[in-house]
Amino acid sequence: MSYRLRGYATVEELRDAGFIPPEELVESKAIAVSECIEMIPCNVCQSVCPVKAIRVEGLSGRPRIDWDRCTGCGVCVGSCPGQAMFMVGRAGNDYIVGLPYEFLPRAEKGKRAVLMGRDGRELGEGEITRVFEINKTQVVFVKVPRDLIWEVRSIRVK
Amino acid sequence: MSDILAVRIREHPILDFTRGPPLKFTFNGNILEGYPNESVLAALWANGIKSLKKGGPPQGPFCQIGYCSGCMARVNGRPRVRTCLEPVSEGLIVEIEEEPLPPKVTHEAEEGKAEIIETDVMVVGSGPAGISAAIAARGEGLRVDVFERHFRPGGQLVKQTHKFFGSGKLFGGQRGFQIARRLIQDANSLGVRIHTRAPVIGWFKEGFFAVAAQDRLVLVKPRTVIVSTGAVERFLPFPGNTLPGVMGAGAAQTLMNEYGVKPGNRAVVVGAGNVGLIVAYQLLQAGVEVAAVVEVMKEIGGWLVHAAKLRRRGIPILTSHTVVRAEGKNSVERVIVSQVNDKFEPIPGTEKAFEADLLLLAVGLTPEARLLAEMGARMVWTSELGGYVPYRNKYMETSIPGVFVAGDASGIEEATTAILTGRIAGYSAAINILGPRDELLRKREEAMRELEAARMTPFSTKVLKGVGKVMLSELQA
Repeated sequence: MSYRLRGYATVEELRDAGFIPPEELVESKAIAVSECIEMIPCNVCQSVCPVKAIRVEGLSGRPRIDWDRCTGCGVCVGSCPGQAMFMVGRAGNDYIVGLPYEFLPRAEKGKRAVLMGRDGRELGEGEITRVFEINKTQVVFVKVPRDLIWEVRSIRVK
Repeated sequence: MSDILAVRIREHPILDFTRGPPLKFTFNGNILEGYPNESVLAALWANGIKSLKKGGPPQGPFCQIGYCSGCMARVNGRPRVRTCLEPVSEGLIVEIEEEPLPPKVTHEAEEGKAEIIETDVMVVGSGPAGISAAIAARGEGLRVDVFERHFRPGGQLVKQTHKFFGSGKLFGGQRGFQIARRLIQDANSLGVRIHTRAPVIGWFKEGFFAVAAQDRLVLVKPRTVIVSTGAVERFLPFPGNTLPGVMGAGAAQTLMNEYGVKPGNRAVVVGAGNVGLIVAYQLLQAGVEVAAVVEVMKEIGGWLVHAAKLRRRGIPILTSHTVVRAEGKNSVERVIVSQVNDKFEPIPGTEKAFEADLLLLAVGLTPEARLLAEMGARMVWTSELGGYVPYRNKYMETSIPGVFVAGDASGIEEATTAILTGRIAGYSAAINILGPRDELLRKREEAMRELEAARMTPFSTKVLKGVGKVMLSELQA
């Protein structure tokens, strides 16, 4: 089944497209990962990255992230018009996913959230560890189990 | 009247609905409340009134941008007023029309009473294309008059709440309503004259346009004209399609994103192109449940990222499915969809029923360029561009010298290309009047380069094919 039937790209499809960083990278820090696999005429992520770690060839290339350079700030997560940028990896003793959130109730640090996969399936619960906002999109960092960092892509704030 | 509270959005993740003091108006003698800068139709919907038809089965409004006639009522004694273009005001008297047919002319305009406006550049429509054209031409010092039928400028951008793709240099990353605000501010500060509630109703071969302003007739005599009248949403034939609650995707955006009125509680969206996917996401943000998005084609039509935003909220997107009927007594209560075969025919036995009070059609748009047709511009049906469009050259000049087209009226695309074709048309109008100044030619070339870059996507192949079919060679080049 192609992603244009399903409505999202699977981890395997993302890996084949070179969007998934080597596992050891996410053991040391949280880094940006893109799920923007179509050629959208957009380079907002490149424009906003404070450390110039994202490159978009022309206006319509796929974003390529320099993971060594990426500081995991999350600015691209809150800026991407397609909500296709996520933050994934280690933060202290925990693993986190940083994701864009534009629903009610608003996310707040310390609140708990239902974790959801790319197909909306519930995958458990996690604690929100950090929240900031970019033009009304909340960037929400939520604790997730190590084996779910490539799966959790949405939350429902409790 | 506790329903009023239920359908008015109090809190929204993106939009801030600070309403002024309520205004009282009457509908068929009953006193209702609306708010400043709200359309009469939105206020009626918020009060639970979904049909303005007298007798027979109820019929709901479809487009909410002044075309479909589904919202016509008598307002302060004036017959056949489109309530979607009429702002609520204190003491307004709204009544269901007694006569189903247009009334006889009761008075004639007095000769010599019309106001006359002579201008360098007349722009028809104040959406992203029109305002961008106006800014470009006004920046060269020309007099620019924009005519808009709505009571607020901005076209359909004002109800777009999502962040736009694009170059960080242009408007990429900003939300549609923010782009609209910025364009209108720029136009106002430059001294563009924007006339709202001023529909252009026709062109006369003597070289002027008639504008039906609120209390008077205005005759506009322009040196150049830019037609940026946008597009209208397509309708679908199926039983129940006139039931209140069946509406265009854009109409739901008007209610929820412009006026903060919930269009319904549970929706089915037909069409998984970008409009359908985006409106479904916006419904969720407005607190409306989405039962499903159905798409007749084998694949999702819009960008994957828009589909992914819905899928991760658990919203099903049913490809190879279409709506077969809407059911309900006074408004939509149930939507029946069915799988389709390779010929897009419903397959018996595959019907699914969804409880829903809202059925949104996001099945494409068609260019609204009838003014150009009336003026005698060469038009042609171009399926790649969504319908009848004018021939034009690469400077957006139609077959009539000095008459330009921009935005969706020239073919269905999106806001970025509307802004860019608008700029090109605006500079072309300026060149037409001021001559081919180097600086002006350079600015126009730059806009043309940006347009080319914006069209470098897999989805642009179709548009480019269509543009190729309607391109006039070096007409007035």
